[in-house]
Amino acid sequence: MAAPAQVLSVVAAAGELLLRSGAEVARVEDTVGRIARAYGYADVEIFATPTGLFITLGDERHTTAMRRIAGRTFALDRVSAVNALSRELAERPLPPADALRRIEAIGAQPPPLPAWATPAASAIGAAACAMLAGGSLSDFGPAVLANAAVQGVQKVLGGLKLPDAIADFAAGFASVLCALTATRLLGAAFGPVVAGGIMVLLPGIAFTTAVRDAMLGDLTSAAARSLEAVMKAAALASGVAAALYATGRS
Amino acid sequence: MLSYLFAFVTSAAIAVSFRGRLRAVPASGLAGLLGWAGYDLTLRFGLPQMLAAFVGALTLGIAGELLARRLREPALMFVVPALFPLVPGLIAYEGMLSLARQDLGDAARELTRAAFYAGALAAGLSLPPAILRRR
Repeated sequence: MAAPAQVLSVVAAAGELLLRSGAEVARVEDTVGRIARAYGYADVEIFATPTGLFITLGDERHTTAMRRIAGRTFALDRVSAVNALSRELAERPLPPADALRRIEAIGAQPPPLPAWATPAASAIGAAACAMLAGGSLSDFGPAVLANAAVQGVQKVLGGLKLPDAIADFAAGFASVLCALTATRLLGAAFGPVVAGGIMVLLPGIAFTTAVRDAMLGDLTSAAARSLEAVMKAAALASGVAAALYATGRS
Repeated sequence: MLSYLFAFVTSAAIAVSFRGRLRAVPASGLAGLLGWAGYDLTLRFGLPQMLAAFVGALTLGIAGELLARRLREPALMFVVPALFPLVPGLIAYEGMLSLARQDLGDAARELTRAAFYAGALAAGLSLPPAILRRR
């Protein structure tokens, strides 16, 4: 049987990668438990939250690992790859060092589609979703442009390592400026273009996951995610409100 | 009918932007289309919006489970992008915007609506895995 410290480094790496890639806590606890059992540690306690992960193996010394999760962005390819690896390990456990290398490789893998596809798809998805929320077809182009501008602002501010709330505030602000320009020059509708600009940043998924976690009894996760969602919506709306006020449209 | 096209495009594009695999992209679009159809048709029967959200989430949850089996991927792969057209992010944002304008009545109304709406989606989403997954 592999040493507890080695197994722990494998399961902690897998759990941390899953949480950072946007997996739900129930899935993380499930996967970590499955890998630990594959290495012969049936007795394992796991506490996953969106901001931290705690794992204790039930050996005689109760070896424990703790990981801090700093940020969460969706990387569905990584969730899928870790999931597949955990099933593989359940059938045939690799030496812990090899498994750890596999997990690190998954963490470093580039997006499955070319680099330009992600921002382009965000812009198209955001604009299409804004149309669902009540825009007309002629607003689609301006909404794509507004989203591209907001992504640009987010990229610049992300490089400056500013807190997320500031970046979201700026995104809301930029979105209004784009929408104003689009209404003036192209005659687009104001609301749908603003919505298109910030659509991908809106905390809809976080909100829904929060309620889902609460239903499953993962109360710490539910509380953390709700607060994240409220903060995000507040920062975006403040940016929009500030821009409306500054341009005299409030 | 245009809204169905937008639902497909939204879900497929979000699948790309959340780093989904290429073969999961059309499947996510399909799940998003079905979820939107569940939502839209329920509304067309004159039923309340919360029920429509529940039906939409239920439909896309079932689609996600079936696609997950077919393509041997976790259901999350399809469910997260497909949920995007239905999610109450815009309602929460409008609530916060009302708060910033000091329209407290509107703010309370919209934020409460967002919370109940998220509850309806979450309830619809949690049924298909519980029923369809047998281990």
